[in-house]
Amino acid sequence: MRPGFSPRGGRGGFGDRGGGRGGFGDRGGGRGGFGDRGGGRGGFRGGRGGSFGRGGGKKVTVEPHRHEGVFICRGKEDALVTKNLVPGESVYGEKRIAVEDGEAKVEYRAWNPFRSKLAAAILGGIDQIHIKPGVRVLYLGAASGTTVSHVSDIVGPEGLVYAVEFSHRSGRDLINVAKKRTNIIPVIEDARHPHKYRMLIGMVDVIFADVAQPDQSRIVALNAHNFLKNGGHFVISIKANCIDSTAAPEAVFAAEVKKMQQENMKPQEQLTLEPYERDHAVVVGIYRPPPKAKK
Amino acid sequence: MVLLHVLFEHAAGYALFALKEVEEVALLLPQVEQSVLNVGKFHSLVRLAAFAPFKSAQSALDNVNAVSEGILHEDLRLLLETHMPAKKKKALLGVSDAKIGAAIQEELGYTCQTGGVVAEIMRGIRLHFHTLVKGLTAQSASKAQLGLGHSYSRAKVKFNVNRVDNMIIQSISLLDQLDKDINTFSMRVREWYGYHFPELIKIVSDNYMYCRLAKRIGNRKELAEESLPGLEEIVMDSAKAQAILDASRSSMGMDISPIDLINIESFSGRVISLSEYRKGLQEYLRSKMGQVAPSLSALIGEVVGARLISHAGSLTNLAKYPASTVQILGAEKALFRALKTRGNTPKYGLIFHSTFIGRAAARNKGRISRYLANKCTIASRIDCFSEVPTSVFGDKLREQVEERLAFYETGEPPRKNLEVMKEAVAEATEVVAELKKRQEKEKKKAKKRKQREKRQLEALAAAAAEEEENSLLDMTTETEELKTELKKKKRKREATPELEENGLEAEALPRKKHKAAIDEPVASDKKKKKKKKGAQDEDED
Amino acid sequence: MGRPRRAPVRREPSKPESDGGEEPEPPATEIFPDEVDDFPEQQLATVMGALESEEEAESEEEVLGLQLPEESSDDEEEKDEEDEGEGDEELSMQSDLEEPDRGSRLPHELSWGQRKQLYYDTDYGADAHSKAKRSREEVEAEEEEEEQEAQVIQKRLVQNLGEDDYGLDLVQGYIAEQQKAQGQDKGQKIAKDLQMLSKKEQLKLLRQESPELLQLIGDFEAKLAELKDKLHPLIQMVKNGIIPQGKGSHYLETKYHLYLNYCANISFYLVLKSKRMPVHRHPVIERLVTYRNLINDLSIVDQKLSAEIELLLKEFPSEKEIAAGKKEPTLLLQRTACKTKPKTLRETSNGQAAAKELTDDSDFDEEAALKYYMEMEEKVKLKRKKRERQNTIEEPVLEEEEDPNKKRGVTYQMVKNKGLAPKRKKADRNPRVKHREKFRRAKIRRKGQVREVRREEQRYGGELSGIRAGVKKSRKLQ
Repeated sequence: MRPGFSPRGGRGGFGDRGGGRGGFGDRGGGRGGFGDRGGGRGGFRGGRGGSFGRGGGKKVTVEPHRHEGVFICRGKEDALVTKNLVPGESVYGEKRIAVEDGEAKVEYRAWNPFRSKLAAAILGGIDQIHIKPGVRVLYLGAASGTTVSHVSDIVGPEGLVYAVEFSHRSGRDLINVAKKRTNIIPVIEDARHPHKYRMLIGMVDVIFADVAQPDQSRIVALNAHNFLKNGGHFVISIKANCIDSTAAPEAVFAAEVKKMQQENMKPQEQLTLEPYERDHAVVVGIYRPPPKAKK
Repeated sequence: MVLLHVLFEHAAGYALFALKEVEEVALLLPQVEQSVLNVGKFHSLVRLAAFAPFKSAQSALDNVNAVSEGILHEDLRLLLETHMPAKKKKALLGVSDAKIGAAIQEELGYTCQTGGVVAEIMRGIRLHFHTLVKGLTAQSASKAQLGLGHSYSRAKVKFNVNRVDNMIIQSISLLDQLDKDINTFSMRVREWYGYHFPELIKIVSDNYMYCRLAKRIGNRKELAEESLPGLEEIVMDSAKAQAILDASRSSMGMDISPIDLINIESFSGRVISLSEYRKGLQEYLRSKMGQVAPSLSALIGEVVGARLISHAGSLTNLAKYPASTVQILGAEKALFRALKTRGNTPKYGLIFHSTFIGRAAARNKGRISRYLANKCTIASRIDCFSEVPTSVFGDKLREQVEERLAFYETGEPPRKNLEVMKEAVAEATEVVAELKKRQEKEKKKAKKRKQREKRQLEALAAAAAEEEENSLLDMTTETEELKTELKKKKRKREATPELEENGLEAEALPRKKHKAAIDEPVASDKKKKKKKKGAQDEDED
Repeated sequence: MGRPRRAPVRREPSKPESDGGEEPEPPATEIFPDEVDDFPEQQLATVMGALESEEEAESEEEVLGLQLPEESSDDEEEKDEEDEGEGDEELSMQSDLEEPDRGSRLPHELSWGQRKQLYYDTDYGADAHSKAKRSREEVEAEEEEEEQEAQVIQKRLVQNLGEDDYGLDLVQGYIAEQQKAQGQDKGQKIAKDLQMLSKKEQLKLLRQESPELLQLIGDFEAKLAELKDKLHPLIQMVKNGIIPQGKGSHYLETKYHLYLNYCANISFYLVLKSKRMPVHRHPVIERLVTYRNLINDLSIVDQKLSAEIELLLKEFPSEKEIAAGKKEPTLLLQRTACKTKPKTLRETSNGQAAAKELTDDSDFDEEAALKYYMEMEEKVKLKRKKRERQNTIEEPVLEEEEDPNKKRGVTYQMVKNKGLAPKRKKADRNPRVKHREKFRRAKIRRKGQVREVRREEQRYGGELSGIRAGVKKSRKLQ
């Protein structure tokens, strides 16, 4: 049984905890009672997820972001949100926000930049993510499907997300996510060998790569040669530590950019992911850019 | 002049394209690059030679596996053989994978080429596939990809359909709803029939029994001594049956017309069937829980386990929760209220309904609840992430909880966790090994059986041809019987491999052994054992 | 009503009782009565005694009256008796019941009773019912009595009324105030109206009201100007002796005095006007007229001598210049006015004066304005010059040295003899401190360039500082 919470009721005589120091040794027990149920607070993340109001039921407004398909929820704190493709479901226990839009209720899911590199890039101020409603995305390194679900929200029911993940454990979670969202096609295969899953993937508009491998440029290049349309874009998240842990991060990024350029991929912008990640960068570029019309 | 063909694999099927004739293949490259974006130009460059869609999802899956491994599948072979030009030296086949190109070259003799122009053509084909192939829209193409992707991935992670917890979640909610509905309907029956025979309501308290009685009795005036045994059968109590009989004679209920009676009877019939269905559903839930989460169900029981899984959303989610959360799953309202008002947080949620909590003394309830929650978490994690779930761990954990309870009551010290777990691990490995052996044996036997059947069929065919002249009737009947037997066997064997893949049922094993034992003498002794087997088959059917 | 004057409590009848030490009714609760306990009983006894007593002054029943130990009962008795005879002439603690003893046992008319219920009775409610029970005749009799009583009371009240009570003085005072206010308002009204009108209209008004005013003002200015420009230096000359004594000087002096007097009179007239006193039939008008006539007479002589005067003035420009000794006056003694000349002069001067007056009238506005403008400009210039002089004068004034021969101490500058060394910062003294400061600043600048990496310790709850969608911080490549 849990010890009594406050000694005042239980023992007469001293009205303050401090007074009890001399005689009784209930301090430890008393303090132990404090944090007892704290674990429960953070626990409710799974399938049901928390639909806590942000800031305890206060009024929040949702407005569109510069990027299509992404929204900003303004309230006591601002957060990046995407429109939930499957209302009422939380994928990884993220907060959901329901907003009245005229008569219909629209549900949005909060996007955590600590968990998702794409969200960190958007918040960091990337110029273009190229992922918008209706596009087809090839997602390399899908993991358990947390960011993939948000990409799926953005592209909407008209778009498609081919999620490639090699790990079986994450793959199971990914398949579960894909069961609910019909615009995600899970592919549990090694991204290094795109010819192995060539039957499952059509031509895509954007490749998003978050593979964290030393040869990720080559991987992306292979996939791009196979599946990325002319004039398509790529968004690559580079972890300096993973590519070369001894070199300086800036040097690593520069080297990666150079590698990309050699593969007919033209990087257009680069952004580091501070304050969410350390020594990470996101590079956005275009593949086989259409030749500029000479005036 | 080289005829360039290009093989393109798609989720919908295999496609073979022919390119326009060119002197040198390399000359094509600039043309291709320019035309890729323009559909019309591309059409002029490339045309569809053949398209072989996959027959079924299963065949599609087989093909995709083959393609990913670089193996030449039957369907592909068929396509190539039929539609590639006969002159193999002149024909050039472009493929995207060197491995499969090598396989084709080896088996069929076509020279294959990869890279360069072929890659560009592949890109173009991929982009314009739905326009090149008639009868295929972009939507249908992507749907094919979706389906195939799912099945391929599931096969990769050995996605066990039987181990899906969706059924459990649905069943448990259905069970709850059924209970409510049956209760409501029973109340309705009571009221309805009560107009006619009010005393019955007080005599019989059980809903199910009442409905059956209502159906059986019908018009109370027709009740006589003869119907007493029937009543007894339902009520299981002679005194009660007598009481019913007496009450029916002196009842103050109003009379009822036959039409109304029919209505009441049909309604009560429905209620009875619902109750029976509910029982069946409970059994189904039990079996499912045994398949999906045996340890958890061994520890806290099927119903509570199912409720926990349902509340968490899935078995994986439940496994991810910390033990403290599992302890108060189901008491969120009380928890948050307590957290807000800084009161005492609840000690147990859904876990309360397991037997252990009830058995503990009031002061130990909290402790037992915490202990039980910890063990539940362990059990759920084992169930979720083990390759072959067993109930061994669940049993061991249950023993531990029992010991702990005993300790609180009598002061008897329980065993050390370490020891118990060692035992459990040892047992579990044994069980798993056994199961695996059986699996392998099953597979082998399945193969053997298949081969045997083939041979038998051939033998039969030969025998039939020989003995045709002899006694037509006899042999034909025998052969027919044999054939039917063999067919049945085949069916069975086809069924069992599926069972093998999915769950492991120890009960199936002895039957199969028995069958195997019988198999050999069949060929020798036809008639007697045929009959026996026929009987057995019928039984098994 | 007069101020209530409390009657002293009648102690006499009660005292013998109390002295006797007997209480009419010993309280049941107290077995051993005390002085303190007896007090309320005593009070009651006194009141009861007062009720029963036959002395008129004592008819006023005070429940808890003042106890005055100074006055003994005997004195009170005597005083009362005296009062009876003399009336209310002495200021003593006496009741304001002035009527003599009626010799009845009834309490006085004006006194109130012990039971307030009798006096807080109404004709409504319970009483009405009780009245209804009685017969009509009884009711009528009662009402008659009431009426009589009311009349008696009225008479008494009327008698008590005095002059002051009518409050006439208030009314009078009020009226006086009203008049004053009205007068002020009128004055204010006029002033407002005047301001509302334009200048021309104002002038019209003026001309209508007091036509001579404008003329006089013009004349005043002209005369003053003449005084200043011509007469004053000439008089100075006379004083200095440049112009010898004789008829000319005599004439000048006369004129001077005339002008001055005239101006004085005009100024007085203006003062009167400003104070809004009626100038009509004021002796000053007569004086002004006489003076003007005299000046007109002199104008003839003026005309004759005008040329000479101008010459004199040119040669003897101003006092200051004379004082400076720049020019030497030449004497023109020959030009002296004859007696005959003044006559003719007078005639001509009359006409001139008249002409002048005429011109003055028509060009009044413009000339006056111009003159005024010129005067103001000169004033401003003078002011500026004065200010500059003052400024330049002040500075050297501050640097006063009491004693130039005093010994001066040595200064810091001399001691240190630093020379033209540059001023260096304190941080430069200690390089460690300097580097520490540099690092601190560098960290602050770095925070502006790049965000600090933070980990997700708390469950992510959103961006505390808001999200700005339009900002692009990515680096463009190529």
